[in-house]
This record gives sequence, C-alpha cells and structure tokens, in this order.
Amino acid sequence: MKIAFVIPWYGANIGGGAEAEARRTAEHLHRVGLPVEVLTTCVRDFSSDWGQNHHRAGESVENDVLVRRFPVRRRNRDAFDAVNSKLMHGQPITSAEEEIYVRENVCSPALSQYIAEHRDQYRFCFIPYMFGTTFWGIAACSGEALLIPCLHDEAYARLSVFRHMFAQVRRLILHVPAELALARALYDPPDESLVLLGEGVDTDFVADGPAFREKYGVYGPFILYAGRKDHGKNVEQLIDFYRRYRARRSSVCELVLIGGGPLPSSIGAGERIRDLGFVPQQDKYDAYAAATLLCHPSLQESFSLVLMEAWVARTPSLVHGDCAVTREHCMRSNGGLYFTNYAEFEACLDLLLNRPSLRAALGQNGHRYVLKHYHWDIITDRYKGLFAED
Amino acid sequence: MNPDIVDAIEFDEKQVDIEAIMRQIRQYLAHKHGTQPPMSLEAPASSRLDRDVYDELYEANQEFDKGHVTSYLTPTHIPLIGGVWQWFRSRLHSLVMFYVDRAADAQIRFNTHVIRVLNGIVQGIDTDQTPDRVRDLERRVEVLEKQLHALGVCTETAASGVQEES
Repeated sequence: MKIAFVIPWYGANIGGGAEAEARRTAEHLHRVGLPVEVLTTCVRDFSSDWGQNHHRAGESVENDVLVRRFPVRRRNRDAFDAVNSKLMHGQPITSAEEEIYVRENVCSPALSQYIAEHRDQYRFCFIPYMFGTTFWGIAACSGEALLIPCLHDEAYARLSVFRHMFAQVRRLILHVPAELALARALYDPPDESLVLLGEGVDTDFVADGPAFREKYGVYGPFILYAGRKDHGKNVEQLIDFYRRYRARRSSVCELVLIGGGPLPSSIGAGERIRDLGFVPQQDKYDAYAAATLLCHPSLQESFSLVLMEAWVARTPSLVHGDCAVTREHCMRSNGGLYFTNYAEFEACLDLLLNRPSLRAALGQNGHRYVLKHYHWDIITDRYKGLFAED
Repeated sequence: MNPDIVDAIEFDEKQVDIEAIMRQIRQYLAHKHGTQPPMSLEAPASSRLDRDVYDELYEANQEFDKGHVTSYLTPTHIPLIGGVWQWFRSRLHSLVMFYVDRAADAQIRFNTHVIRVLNGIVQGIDTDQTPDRVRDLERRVEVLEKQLHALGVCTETAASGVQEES
C-alpha cells in the first residue's frame, strides 16, 4: 500500500515548519524504500491566494518523490479573513463562522475526490491540522486517516469542527510529550490512536562559524534568532527585552536575526540589532555555529526544528518558558534555559554570556539529545514500524 | 564586570541540571526583587510611613496573584436530562474559564510588577539614610555658623583695637 502525505502546498523553497517536515519526511521515507507520494494543491504557498492555481495540475517528480497536484476551487476570501481575524485576536466565533472557516479555507474538491476514490490504495498522512485539505481530506477517507497535526495551543485548535475532525482520525502522529498532552486535553482521543513519533532532523551538516562571521562581518559574541519574524514567533518581545538588556549592561553582545519577514519595529543606528533577512541554508547552519546562543522566544511550537539544528551545532538555547514544547525540550535535554519575564531573561543571559563552561555543557547536552531522539534513521524506523503495524 | 548572579549560580559542569539552575535563578530573583514582602510586615519602629501603608501593602502582597477562577458546578440528580445538562454546563464553564484565565494571567503579571515596585519603594523609603544625613549636616552647619560668628566677633574686636592704636 502506498503512503501519501497530504498538504495544502508543496515545494523545495516553501517555508514553514509543517511544509518542511512533510517534504523532508517524504524524501527520507522514499530513500529507505517506502512507496511515498505527495498529494497537494496547485496553490503556490501559504502567503499566496489560496483560491488561485499557480502550478499546473498533474504529476511531477520533485527530489525523486512523486507529487500529484490538484486544482483548488474559488473561495470567499473576505468571509474567511473576517472569521480568521476574530480567531487571531482571541475572539470567540459562532458555529456558523466555524463552518465559514472550513468552507472558505484552501479547498480542492478534486483532491478530496481522489482521496475518496483511492482510499484502498493509500495510507494518507495529513499535515498540518488547520487547513481545508486536511479537513475535507479526512472526511473523504472514512476513518483511515493518519494526522500529523503540528498542534499547539491556539484558537484554531479549540474549534468544534476540528474536535470532530480529530475524532475521525485513526492515528495521531505527535512530535513531543507536550504536544501529546495538549491533544489529550483538547480532544480526549483513544490512547491507541496516539503515536509519539517525533520529527527527523538533519544531523550531518557541517557548520562553519568563522565563515559566517567573515561573510556577514559579525565578530563579537551574539544572540541568534532564526525564523520568520511574525507575531506568532514573539520576536517583538525578544527585541524589547534585548533593548532593555543593552540599556542595563555594558555588554557588547549583538542580536542577529535571520529569516524572512519584516522586523516588528524599526531599528535605530547603534542598537546592535542586525537583521540579515533570508539567508542560504548553509549560512543558517554556519550562523548556529558562530552564535553565542540561540534565543527562540516563540510561544507556539509543536516541535521547533530551529532549536534542534542549533543543538546539532552544539549551540545552547534560551527559550520562552510559556511554550510547553520548547521548555520541555530544554528540560529533557538539559540543553537550554528558559525565561517567562524580563528579569529571568536578564538573569539567563547574564549566565550564558559569562559562563562559557555552562554554554559548552548545554550545547553538548542538546547535541546528544537530538542524535538520540530525532536522527533520521530513528524517525524513518519509527514510520516503518507504524506502517507495518497498520 | 559580571553581575552578581554569574557567581551566585552553582552547577556541575559534567552533569548540568537546568531545573536546578532555573530554581536558583528564581530564588535569586525572588530575593533581589522581593516577590513576597521582603521587609518585616510590622512597620519598623522608626518608620517614616504611616502604619496603614504597611497594612495595605501586606494585603496587596497577599492578593496580587489571586485572579484565576475555579469551576464549581452544583450537582444535579435529574435522570437523563441532568447528565446532559451537566455536560453542557461543564463545557460552557471550560470555555468561559479559558477566556477569563487568559485575562487573569495578564492582570497577575501586571500586578506582580506593580507589587515589586511598591515593595521596593516602601523598603527604599524606610532604609533611605538621606533625611538623617540632612539632619546631621544641618546640625553641623549650625555649629559651624556659630563658630564662624564667634570668630567674626573676635576679628572685628581685633580690627577696632588696631585702628585705635594707629
């Protein structure tokens, strides 16, 4: 039986945690001999119009993986945006609005039909939980779906439409115990449906810190932020806390940000905050090795690949204590500290910047943790075991 | 120069335990910032502040983090409908509490900062040596003025004596 990852958009250069996970997992499973395909829509990516077909429908092979693209239907974007805005601002919505959310989401009737017609030939893995491809796709495969929800505590996760959707899933594939606990709290799924599988991390990259310093002219100690600079990643707080820290300490430590998106506030000259924007992947790896520490203040994570990659490069981390997933990673690995307010941020930074032996120990612990739990060999074996069981 | 905390935190380099480090950090900060009333709750004998200020501050320190609500559902014994009604009510309670607790968390964080500032101000006022020093300095100025005055009288007397001789 074939395995199909179902995702709203797909491609080598598409950002986003779930998108990267789907692509990398499909490619690695293909390499170990599993018959993997990707079912997706013709939409370009998350930031484009979800009602517009950018790619041509049909089959293509991308990095040796067969990709089938299906056209999306037109949608009422204004109606969707009105509901979505309420959710993003933490306002409650009605049942009718929940229906609008799923009806006017990214939707491909052709994809749903393909799933319904071929459900005896595939094991469908839907990722992530909140899009129309997942909602309508799960409905089409009659209780046989596997779902990689990429779940974190947010308003979408509490919609009753998704509670019903989770109840129809045969297997829930989760990254970490904190995500599993959240799934239990929100949906009370049967224990036998829960699979704590994790996510694969590339552990064989070579990271050249001096090359990064030379290329970007960063010579002193620096705090690295890597990722999109959107509201959900809590970058505003990092910049705010860094400014306060700089005002209180004579430290020469810089804040270096890499990743797409505009900065949440303008940066004045002499602030020692540098936004390098989107950098090539090798430069990102080199940045991990060059950084004094990685700070990842995001409150909404279901795994955090960035944290893992920094640990592969033996760089210690500082995360937000209100994010159950990243805090749990730090506690399980002893690879990083966490803060919940400015005072803790300042104390952790004082320690990390002034105690090299602590940094080295945390970085080494993080490195060991990633290799032990999230090496691709381990993850592909777990997937093989999962598909063999089913 | 390293901040105090750098030397205050102890850990075993061979077996780092971040929970132990975080515990030490929290203890250090609690001691430094005084999340609980750091001063004696009794007003000091020589306090510059009214006793009521300490009483109010004590109450504020006891109450600043009491913002969350707990669910309380009275049991129902009505057959069939009672169970459904109870289920509906518990779901509704959970939903309401979700939104209330988010607001409460924000309020508690704000309260915590305010209480820390108030504790610091009160402690600062009662440990501030400035008024005592001002009083000491005023006394010294008074003594010096008297000495200067006495010296001025002597000088005038001497000067008038010299004029008479010439």
